[in-house]
Amino acid sequence: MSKKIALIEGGTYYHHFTMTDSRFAGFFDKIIYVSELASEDLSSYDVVMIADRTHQKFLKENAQKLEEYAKNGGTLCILGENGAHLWFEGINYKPTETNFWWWLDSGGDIGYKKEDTSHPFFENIRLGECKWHYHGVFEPGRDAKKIIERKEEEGGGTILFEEPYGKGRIVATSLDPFYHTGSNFMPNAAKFLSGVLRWLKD
Amino acid sequence: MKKFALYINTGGGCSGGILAHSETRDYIDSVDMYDFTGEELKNYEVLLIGTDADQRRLMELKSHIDAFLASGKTVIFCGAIAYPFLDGVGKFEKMYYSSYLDYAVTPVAGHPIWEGVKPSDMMMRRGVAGFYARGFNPPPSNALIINTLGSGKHPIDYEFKTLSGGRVVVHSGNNLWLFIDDDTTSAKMGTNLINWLKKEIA
Repeated sequence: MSKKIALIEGGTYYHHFTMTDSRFAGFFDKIIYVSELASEDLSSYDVVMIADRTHQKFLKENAQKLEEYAKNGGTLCILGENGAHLWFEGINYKPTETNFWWWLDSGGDIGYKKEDTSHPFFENIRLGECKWHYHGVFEPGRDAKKIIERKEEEGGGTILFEEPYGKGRIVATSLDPFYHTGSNFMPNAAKFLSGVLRWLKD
Repeated sequence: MKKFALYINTGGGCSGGILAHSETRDYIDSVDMYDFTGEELKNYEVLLIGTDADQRRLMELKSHIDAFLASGKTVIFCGAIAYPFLDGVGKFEKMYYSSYLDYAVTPVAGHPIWEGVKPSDMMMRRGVAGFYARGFNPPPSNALIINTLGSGKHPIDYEFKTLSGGRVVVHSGNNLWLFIDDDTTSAKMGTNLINWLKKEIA
């Protein structure tokens, strides 16, 4: 049975244009404006997704609520540039220099490791469709499944992972697909978001 | 000259140096998006709103923005309109690109903000087109159209007087001041903006 997904968004143009995009709108059972998060009951949703580049003020204020949600069995999906390491216990993140221009070099590559295609995330998307640019990498815990990783020779680290948390799990990425999709920029961002949503919805 | 402009800061890194640049910093105060109450506007002549502002929050504060404009003051908006917090400016329409010419920026009226800025520098960064605007916010009929985009001549930059007597400048893309530290003529947009406003309000 398909999962119920709630989206937390921050009122920006890129959140608006992505969450109302006909390719994605049907995935969301509930839209939660981040400044109203404190009064929302998350318990009826299987997945809570925090759109990338949401102002951290309300995420910090609701950190305990979000931790409780995952501990109690929910899937908390934190997209990129949300400063999760600053408000969520146990998230290790390191900002990296962003290479916006790797694709301009002949034979240029963003430096991802070869993926484990048996992970269900890759049922709906190819690794090549997850490439535009990232602003940092995670060092998740031992129980995590690292879904997209950076090659050791590129500095290592993880771009997308899932990790058990209490009775639930955390899914986190350093990619920011709402920003680029809502900006009508970087078509792979829409493919990546679609891949994440299809995976979490199943 | 006192600080005459108020910049709504989101912490998202999009201020692009205008708050630190030697030619602009002495004229701008900033306030966090969620500390901003609207009451502060009585102390300023200009309100600067950037791309990553929470427009749902701005809708809640619309009466303050309306009153600010009705007192003859100036709003500079960069970005895509998702919520109608700025009377007269239509909801963002994204561009569909069918040829390279659709990325071309064409000046149609001179304006101090764009003085000395080459259209090719607006259109391209590192030889890649499409950074300046990815669509447009439809203007009111009395707008002075400054720059258009693509073969469809979409109005991406314009200035108009509101019915209430205020002044609005719209740029339908990344913050004009994002490029203030670039080594091309695009850097001038941020400094030109503040230098122009200094003269206007003197």
